[in-house]
This record gives sequence, structure tokens and C-alpha cells, in this order.
Amino acid sequence: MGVAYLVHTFGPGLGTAALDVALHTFLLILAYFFLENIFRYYTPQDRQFLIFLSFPLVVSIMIFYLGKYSIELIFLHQQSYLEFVKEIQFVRLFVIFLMVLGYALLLLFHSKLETQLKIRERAEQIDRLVKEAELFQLRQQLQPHFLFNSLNSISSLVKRKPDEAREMVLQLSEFLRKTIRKENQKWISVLEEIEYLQLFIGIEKVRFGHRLEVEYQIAEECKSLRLPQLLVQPLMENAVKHGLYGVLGDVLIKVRFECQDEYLFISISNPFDSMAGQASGESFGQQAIRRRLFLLFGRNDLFKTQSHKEEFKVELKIPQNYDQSYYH
Amino acid sequence: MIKVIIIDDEPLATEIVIEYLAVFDQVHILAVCHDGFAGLKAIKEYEPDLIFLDVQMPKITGFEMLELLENPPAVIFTTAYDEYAMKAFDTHAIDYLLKPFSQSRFEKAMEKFLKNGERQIVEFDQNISKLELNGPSERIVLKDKHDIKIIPFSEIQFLEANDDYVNIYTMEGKFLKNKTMKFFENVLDTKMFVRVHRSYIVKITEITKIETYEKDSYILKLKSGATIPISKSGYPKLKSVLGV
Repeated sequence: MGVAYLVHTFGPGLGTAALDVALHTFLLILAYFFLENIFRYYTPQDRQFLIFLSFPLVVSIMIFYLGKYSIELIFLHQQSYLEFVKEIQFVRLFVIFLMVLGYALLLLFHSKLETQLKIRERAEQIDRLVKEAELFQLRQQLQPHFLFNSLNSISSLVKRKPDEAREMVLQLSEFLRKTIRKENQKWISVLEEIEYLQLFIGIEKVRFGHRLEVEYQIAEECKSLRLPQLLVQPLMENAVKHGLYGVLGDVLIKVRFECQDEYLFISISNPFDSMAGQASGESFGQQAIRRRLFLLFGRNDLFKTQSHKEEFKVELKIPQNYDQSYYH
Repeated sequence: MIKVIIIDDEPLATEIVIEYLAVFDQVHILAVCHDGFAGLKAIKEYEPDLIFLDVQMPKITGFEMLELLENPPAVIFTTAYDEYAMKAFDTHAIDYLLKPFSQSRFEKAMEKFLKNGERQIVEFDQNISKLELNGPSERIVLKDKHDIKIIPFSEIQFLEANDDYVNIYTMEGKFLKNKTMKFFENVLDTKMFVRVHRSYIVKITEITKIETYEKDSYILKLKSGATIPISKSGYPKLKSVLGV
């Protein structure tokens, strides 16, 4: 309205000016809508400033001509107004361009801000999950089943077989120390992971030695490959637990490390009884690992579980062409 | 003479019980078992006065094993299970020993047993299997003639009250379990199972049809062909679970 009155002071009638302003306001809204849709799907990179500029430029030229022809059509019989319009047409184009550009900049700023927020959100989520996994891990190792049963074994050995008791104390300490090691922000080598697994299995064997057997198949060439921490051991623990409690008799756990193209491939299998009515679906531990893999690599196809008749198997693929210095 | 059986899947854990028992002259250890099945057999064979029982063991837990006994002996639990689960039954067993336990703690438990003398019926809280945090509790363990049958909840089609027992219907047929309908109503997932009648609990995925029987009364048809009555109070429950 104000603008219409302003235009009116330059000569044309108030009605004519209002119509003109309304027309252009409508066109501008159309343009904003158009731009918004473009920038929803396209976010210009840092060096593509020219491309970014070209959008509002093209849009404002389009509006300008659309406006111009519309005015010529609408005000066909107001020769004086048309002349007036023609006189100031470059001013008009410039104003339109400024307005469109301003809006485009606003959109750009908004989308950049949103991306930033998303990135930060993801990082926070990863942080939280890693902490959760660590906590879960700690709870697992520091709670009844593992720790107290191990302590009970030591208590049982201490009088009759003091040497074995001491050996068990040492193993348990080393395992716990490795579990709570501080620098768990980095990847470790397959060799280190296997040492850790063997320590764990060593302790479980003191408890279940008569039933538990682990068979390692580790391809020589992948011993130096690396993987994130706290991924394999929880799966191993699951396998041992489900093996020991799922079936009577002996339990053979098979662990395999292989290189497959640019992946480190790990599989762990344990015997199980499909008829025993064990809870189906993934355990909390498995879900945590699947989610962590997704956050590490942004992929959902790296973790698989299969159950055949009498064998349960988990498979894990760790991409090797990945920035390993950065744990997340 | 006190007849004792030790049931624990870890050999070292049984050895320490044997060691601690050495001071009790009147005790005779008749068997050491490493799982619930062997335990059941030994209990039947030797009819012990007292058993030492672990909770988490292969295939069936210590609780599930006890459920299968008609006349269970006195029980002292020996387990590393956390107190949360332990609290639920500490009034029913003679005692529970949290691993690792000392000789003096062990002797205290034995004193308790000796004071109570005689056999003592072990009663269990009906909700116990819900409290087993880590143990597989999504299943029913029962005796089927001479076999022990493990039925995952997912295989249940429907349940039918039968005096003090419940008939459990699965694809394989009908099984009998000495629990109440109330118990199953509590432990089964309420999104999957509905008590449609005082005497019936039905798994909703088994339902094929709800038919009008007479005015204001309905019956259910199941995939297996079974027909189940719906009570007046069961009908609105069923409707709300099905979302109709």
C-alpha cells in the first residue's frame, strides 16, 4: 500500500499503482516459492558462487519480463503509464534482483545452518552410542556372570591349586585392564584384537574348560589390518554364552578373520538349538553393534546374523579404505 | 545321613561346594551334575534331602528344573545372579549363596537347613521367570510324559484353563503345565495375547474370524480350526487389542 502510494506520487493514479504493486508482489511470491524449491534440493558448494548467483538473476529477469508483458496487457489503454513504466524499467529490474537475491541468500544461510546442525547432531549421536557401548561392555564384564563366576573359580582353586589360582588372577586383571583402557578412540590391529579375545577365552576356559573349544582361522595377510575396538569381543561373548547355555555337551566356537577385497571379514559361529526357544531377534548387544557400524560407516549391510539348524553365525565386514585415525 | 546333590555347570563351582561340605560328617554327596536334565535324573534316582543349585545352566535354568519336580527337595541356590532376581525367592529357598561365598557363609546356610530339619517344600513366586533378566524367560518348560519340552511363547496358539493346570496348545498338540491363567496373563506379551474368556487366552495372530454366536455373544475361529468362546468382558478387550 505504502509502495503504491509512493508510486502514485510520481504521477499515475492510485488504482493503477496498486494494481502494478499487487501484480509484482504476486510475482515475487511466486519467485520465492520457486527458489525455495530449488534450494531444498540443491545446496551450492563454497566455490560455486557464480552458479548460486545465476539462479536469482535468471529468476528476476523472468519476473521482470513477466511483469512487463502483464502490465502492457493490463494497462493497454494507459499510454502515459506505460511510458512511465518503460522509463524506470531498469530501476525495476534492479529492485527485483535485489529482493530475489536477498531471499536466495537467506535460503542459503538457512540451509548451511541446517547442515551444520545435522552434522553436529550425528556426531553427538555417535558419541552417545560409543559411550553406551562402552558402558554396556563394562556392565557386561563387571557384572555377576563374568566377574563373580571368575572370582568364584579363583576362590575354588586357591587352596587346592594355588598356582592356577594365581594364573587366573593375572589373566583376569589383564583382561579387565584392557577392557577399561583409556585410549579407546583408535582402531586396533587384528593381532591385538585376537590377543584380547584369547585372554577372554582363556578365562572362560578355566570355568568351562571341559566343554569349551575355540577354533581360530586367521588369514596371514590380514593380521595387520585394523578395526574399531569393542566390536568383536561382545560378539564373541555372545557366542560363548549362547553356546554354553543353549546346548548340552561340547561347544565349539569358530572364529574367522579374512581379507575380502577392501574389507576385513570376521565371522563367529556357535552351536545352538533352534528348538530351545531362545529369544528370537537380535540381542541388545547385536543391535548396539549394528547401530555403531552404521554410524561409523553409514552403512547397514556390514553386519549379518544367520541361524542354520544347529549353528548360529554372525558376520562382520570392516571397510578398510576408511579414515582409521578418526575413531568415529 | 543327609543326602546331597550338587548341580552347577562349572566344575570349579561344584568343587568348592564339595570342599566346604567336607566338615559335615553326616553329609553324603550322591551326585554332581552339570545341567538341569542330569539334575532331574539324579534327584529322581537318589531322592536327596538337599540340593545345591545354580541358576543359569545349559538348556534349562535352575528355576525351570525345580518347576518340573513334583516334590522338590530343600534347595540352597549358589549363583552369581544379582540380588534383584534373588530377592524374589529368598523367602522360599533355604538360602542363597552369592558367588563367591566364604566358608562361614556357607556353614550358616547349612545351619539353616539343619535347623529346619526334614524336607521342606520349595515354593516359588509365580512371577519369578519374569525377573530373570538375562535368562531366557520367553518360554515354558514342562514335562511331556517322559520328555522335557521347551515351548517358546511364540509357538503358543492358545491356552485353556484346566483346574489347577493350563492346557497349552501349539502346532504340535496339547501340553499340560501346572500354572494358573493369571500367571500366563502376567507374563505373556499383552500386545500378542488376549484373555478373551475366564478360561481362554488367545494369540491374536491365530485368529481368523470373530463370529456372532447369539445376540450379544461371540465366538472366535482360529487358524487351527479351534473355536473359542468370548466372554462379555473379553469382547471389548479383544476389540481394543485388535484396534477395531
